[in-house]
Amino acid sequence: MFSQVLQSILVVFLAVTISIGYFVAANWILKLWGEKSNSSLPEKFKPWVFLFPALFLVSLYLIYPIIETVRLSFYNNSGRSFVGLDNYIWLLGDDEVKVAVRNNFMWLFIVPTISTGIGLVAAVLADRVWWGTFAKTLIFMPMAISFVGASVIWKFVYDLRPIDVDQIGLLNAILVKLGSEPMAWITIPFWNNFFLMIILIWIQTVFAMVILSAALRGLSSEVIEASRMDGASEFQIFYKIMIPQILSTIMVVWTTITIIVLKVFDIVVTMTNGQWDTGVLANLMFNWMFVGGDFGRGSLIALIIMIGVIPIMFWNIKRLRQEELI
Amino acid sequence: MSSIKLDNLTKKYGEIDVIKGVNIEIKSGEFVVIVGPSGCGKSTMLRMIAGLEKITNGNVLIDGKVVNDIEPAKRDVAMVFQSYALYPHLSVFENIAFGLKIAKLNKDLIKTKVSQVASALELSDQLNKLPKQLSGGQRQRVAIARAMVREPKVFLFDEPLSNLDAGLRVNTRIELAKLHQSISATMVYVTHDQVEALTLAEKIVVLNEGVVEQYGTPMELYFKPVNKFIAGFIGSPKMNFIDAKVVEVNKKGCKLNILDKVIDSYFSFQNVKCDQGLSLGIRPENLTVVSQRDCLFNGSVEIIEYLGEYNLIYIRIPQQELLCIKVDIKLSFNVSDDVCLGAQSENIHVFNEDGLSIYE
Ligand SMILES: Nc1ncnc2c1ncn2[C@@H]1O[C@H](COP(=O)(O)OP(=O)(O)OP(=O)(O)O)[C@@H](O)[C@H]1O
Ligand SMILES: [Mg+2]
Repeated sequence: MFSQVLQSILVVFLAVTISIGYFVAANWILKLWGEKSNSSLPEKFKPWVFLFPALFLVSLYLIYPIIETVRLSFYNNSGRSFVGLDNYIWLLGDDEVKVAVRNNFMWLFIVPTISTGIGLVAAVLADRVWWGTFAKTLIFMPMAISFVGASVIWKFVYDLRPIDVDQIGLLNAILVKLGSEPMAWITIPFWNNFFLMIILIWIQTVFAMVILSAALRGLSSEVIEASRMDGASEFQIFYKIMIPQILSTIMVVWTTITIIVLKVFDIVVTMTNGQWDTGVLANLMFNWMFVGGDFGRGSLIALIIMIGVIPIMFWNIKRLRQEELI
Repeated sequence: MSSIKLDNLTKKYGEIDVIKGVNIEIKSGEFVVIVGPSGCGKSTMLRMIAGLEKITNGNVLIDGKVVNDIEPAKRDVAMVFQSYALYPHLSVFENIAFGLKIAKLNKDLIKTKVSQVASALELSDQLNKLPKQLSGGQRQRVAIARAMVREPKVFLFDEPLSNLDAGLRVNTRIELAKLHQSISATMVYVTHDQVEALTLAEKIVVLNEGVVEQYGTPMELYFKPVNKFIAGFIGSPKMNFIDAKVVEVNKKGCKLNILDKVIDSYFSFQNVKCDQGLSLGIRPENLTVVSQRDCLFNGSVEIIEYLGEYNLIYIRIPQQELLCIKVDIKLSFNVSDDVCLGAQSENIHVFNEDGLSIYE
């Protein structure tokens, strides 16, 4: 334990020393060179010298893996022999992949939309009632819980026990109290996806509420009063005055949650491990790559996820640029 | 056009009294200005008339009807906010048309009304712009247009000119005066700029710490201030105050001791007692440099301000605040000159120990 701490301190120290050393040395060499050659070349060279470490590391850890993944997607399970488009043909025909793609689309559409929607309503309402702060604190709790932890909590909500013992799952306990049979919630085809999504919605609603609440606070109260003088009802104030003004924040929240959804993995693993048609692409990739040991198919699925992310990223960056322009 | 009546209007924020029982009647079509120092409750009072602030006690009546519980929009009043409060995401046209659209007016009618108002306020070329693309003065006009287009019975203005530069402020002030003449709606206008108050108002309400100190025409406030607060608040530069003491009262009037010197002539007011302490108020334009014979008191010149049209001279008198006098630029003074000061007795305001005015 102690030696490990010592080791990490040493690593941190070394990293900082090397960084500073690189900076000082590079500066010194550039200066010497500048004095000798008397040209403007060292000045032009300077930004690249300082960019180099970052560019190098980004290429090493980002660009290279992408190229390698593309390469592996044309190889067999061991990654040794070239198989052409075999993996691609498999991908198009596989039912599990189809289900995963469908599920991913559902997650992508439903989770960001509902989280942002509920978060927005909660943010508006919490500002109008005296117990709003208390309510916000309560809603804020899930934010501090990891996805896996949240899944474990919800496992208890959906829990099913044999019919002759007491139901410890919240939903089934209610059902039994009402006189019905308990149900195996997470195995109900199609709908079980929604039961899984609720977990992420539960967490992300908080995020949406916190950000949107701050945005709403930033609105001018005089503008809202002016609309009240103009005869707008509370509801009209909400969607004609408030929403348009915080639209860009709503989009930020929406895309942020979208990106989180694209990475969803832990909830599915913890709850069902992809059984009963609940798999998503990240999950499938993990299973092929590390459980099934098929590097070719695993890499191909990884590639599909990446291609799925690109449009959203692209759109996000474009929007950010526009915002800067305004 | 409609009348407004505030009947014992009171506002409390928790334990703090902000408006302490205001009684005012505003006639239909009148232009009333509410002035007072910062934090005295002007905005609060205006917002209670608008319906944006809950009334703690008392009533607001519009056209004789209590409107305490009527929504702002249904009171038929429009308000122009200090920050303009334009809808930032809507174009100028949409800003002006917003209230009409909410009221579900016919599209063509909205268009005609908006373009009428826009051309009256010279905004016709700006209709497609967003508020942030406008200058301060243009934004101000959009805010006024938005209020005008609804043709309300009452206009409320909360310091509408305070964000404009001096030149624009004068122009817009004149525009507002013209506007009032042309549409003859009742207008209530809040400001802490007394020049605005004196120039625009038919009647002025002077508010101080939530209490109406005086309600009257600009002339009344200027020439017959009811107390020292009003006397000092209205008029610029401020009225000068000098301590005095009554030494003799008889049929001819009273004799005063001003700054340890008994003045020979009689002052005409009589409802004072012997030995009573008074405060004499004389405006800078009424205090003049006089010959030894008419001298009320003397002092030495301390500061001279050249303002082009006239000069302001500040005079040091023992144990008193600096006195300010307004003098013709042709008269020349030097710092530390000794001067004799005097004033016509009809230009001297007299206040008793409680700060209330005493008139003949
Ligand atoms: N929401 C509130 N809660 C508590 N006190 C308030 C609130 N709003 C205003 N006040 C207090 O009421 C008093 C009057 O405020 P108001 O805004 O009416 O002043 P004002 O005369 O308009 O001042 P200014 O000329 O600076 O605009 C102030 O002392 C202020 O602190
Ligand atoms: Mg105010």
